[in-house]
Amino acid sequence: MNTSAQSAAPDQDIMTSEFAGRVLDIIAKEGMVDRAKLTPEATLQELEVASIEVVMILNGLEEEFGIYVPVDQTISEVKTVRDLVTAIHGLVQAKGAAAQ
Amino acid sequence: MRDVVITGLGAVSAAGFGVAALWEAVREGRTCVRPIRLARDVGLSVGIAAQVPEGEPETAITKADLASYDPFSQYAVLAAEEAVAQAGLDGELRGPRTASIIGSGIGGFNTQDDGFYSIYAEKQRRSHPLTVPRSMPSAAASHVSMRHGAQGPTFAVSSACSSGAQAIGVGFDLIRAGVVDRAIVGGSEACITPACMRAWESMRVLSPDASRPFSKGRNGMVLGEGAGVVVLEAAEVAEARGATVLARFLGYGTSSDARDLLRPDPDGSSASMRYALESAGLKPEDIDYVNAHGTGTVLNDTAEAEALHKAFGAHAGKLAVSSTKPVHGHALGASGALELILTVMALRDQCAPPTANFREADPNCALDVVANAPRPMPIRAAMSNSFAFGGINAALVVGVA
Repeated sequence: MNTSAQSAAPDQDIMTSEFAGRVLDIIAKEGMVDRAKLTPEATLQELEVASIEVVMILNGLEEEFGIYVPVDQTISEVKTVRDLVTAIHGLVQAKGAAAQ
Repeated sequence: MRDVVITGLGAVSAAGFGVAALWEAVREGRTCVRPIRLARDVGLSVGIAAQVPEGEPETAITKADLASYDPFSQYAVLAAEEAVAQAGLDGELRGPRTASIIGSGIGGFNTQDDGFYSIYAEKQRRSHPLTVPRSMPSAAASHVSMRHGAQGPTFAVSSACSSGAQAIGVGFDLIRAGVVDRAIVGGSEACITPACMRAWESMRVLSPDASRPFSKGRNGMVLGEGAGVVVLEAAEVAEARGATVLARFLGYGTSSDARDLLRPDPDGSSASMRYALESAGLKPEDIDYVNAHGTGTVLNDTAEAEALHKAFGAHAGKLAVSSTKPVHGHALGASGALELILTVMALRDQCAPPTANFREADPNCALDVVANAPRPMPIRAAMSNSFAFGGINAALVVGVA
C-alpha cells in the first residue's frame, strides 16, 4: 500500500496530481459515477452521490491510503470533488507527519 | 385518559450496575469510555467504547438462567429487577394487566457473532442449541415477562436508536388507554462485538477519540451498551397502593421522516417533539430541560439544534440542553431508556447534568448547552429525545412528582 502524499508538489494544483487521480478512481468506482464527469468543481450533489455512496467512497479511501476518516466539520462540508481531494490529502499528510 | 406515573428505575451501563452509579458519573461528567475489550482482534481503527464492566452483581438470576441469556437479555433482566424493587412491587405484576416491552436495535448480537464465527471460521459442526432463543430481539422482553409473571402485551420494539424511547412510549399509551395498569418498559443493547464494531466503523459515524456533542471540533459518536428499564403505573393504581411516585409521565410523540435512510431531517424530529408536547398538554415554555439525542456526529447535532428551534420557537434559547452520551456512550436501542432515567434524575435533583468533553460552542448548534459542569436549576418538566437511522424519531416528556 502506497500511502505517500508527496506526489502533489507545493506549487502544483492538487487536482492535477497523481494523488488526485487515485482519489478520483475511488470516487468513480465506489460512488458509481462516470470518471469523465469528475471535474474539480463538480459537486457531489450534481453527480447524484447519495449519503450511502459517500460512505462507500470514504471506506474505499480508507483502504487505499490506510487512514481513518472521521466525519468532522471539514469532511461534512465537502461539496465539490476538489474539496474531497483536498480533505483526504490533509488526512494522509497528517498521518505521514504522525508516523515520523 | 388516565394519568401515568413512574415508580421504578433500573440501569446497567458503562458506569456499572444501578441507577446510582450512572447518575453519579453523568452528574460529574465523568466519562466511562475506555479502550475496547473484544473476544477477537479484527484490527479495528476505532479502539474505544463505553462497555458494561465485567462481573455482574449477585442477584436472584440463577446459573441456569444465565446460560439462556444473551448479554442484552441479562442487562434488561438486571435493570428490571432494580426498577421493580424500587417500585416496591412483587406479586402485583402477575397477570394480564402488566405489559413487558423492551426495545432493542439489534437483539442478541453477541450470540450471533460468536455463533457465526464458530460456524464459518472455526468450522464447528454444531451450533449452541440456544442460539435462536438467545438472539431473537424479543428475548429480553420475554425474560422480563417471565421473571415478573407479566402476562400482558409483551414484545420488542425495534427502531434502531429510538427503540428504547418508543418502547417506553408505547407502554405509556397502553396504560393511558386502559389496556394495562402497569408496564415494565425500556431498552437494551449489547452489540460491542468484533463484527459489529467493524460494521459501525464502516458507517463512518464513530469518533476515534471522544464524543463531543454540540461542540466545535466534534467528529462522531462512541458506542455504548447496557439497559434501562422503568416501571410505569396508572396514577390511580399507584396511589391506591401508596406507592412513591418518582416522576409523572406526561407525554410521548413519535414521527417518521419518510426521507433519507441516514441523513436526519429536522422537520421529522421537530414533529416528534411537538407531538410529545401536545400529548403532555404542555406549551413549549413549560419545558425547562432537554436531554438531547446529541450523538456527537456533525450531522445529528446540527439537525437536532435546528429541530429544537422549530419545535420550541422563541423558547428554544431558554432550554437547558445537554447530551449525556459522552459519559455512557451511544447505547443504541438502550439509549432512549437510559436517558429517560437520567432525565427523571435531573427532575428529582433539580439539576441539569452536563455535556462532558465540550470544548467550544458551534455556531451551527445555537443552544444553551450545559457544558462540562452540572447546573442546579428549577426543572418543572423535561424532554428526552431519540432519533434513529431510518428517520424514526421519538420524544418523551416527564414532570416533577
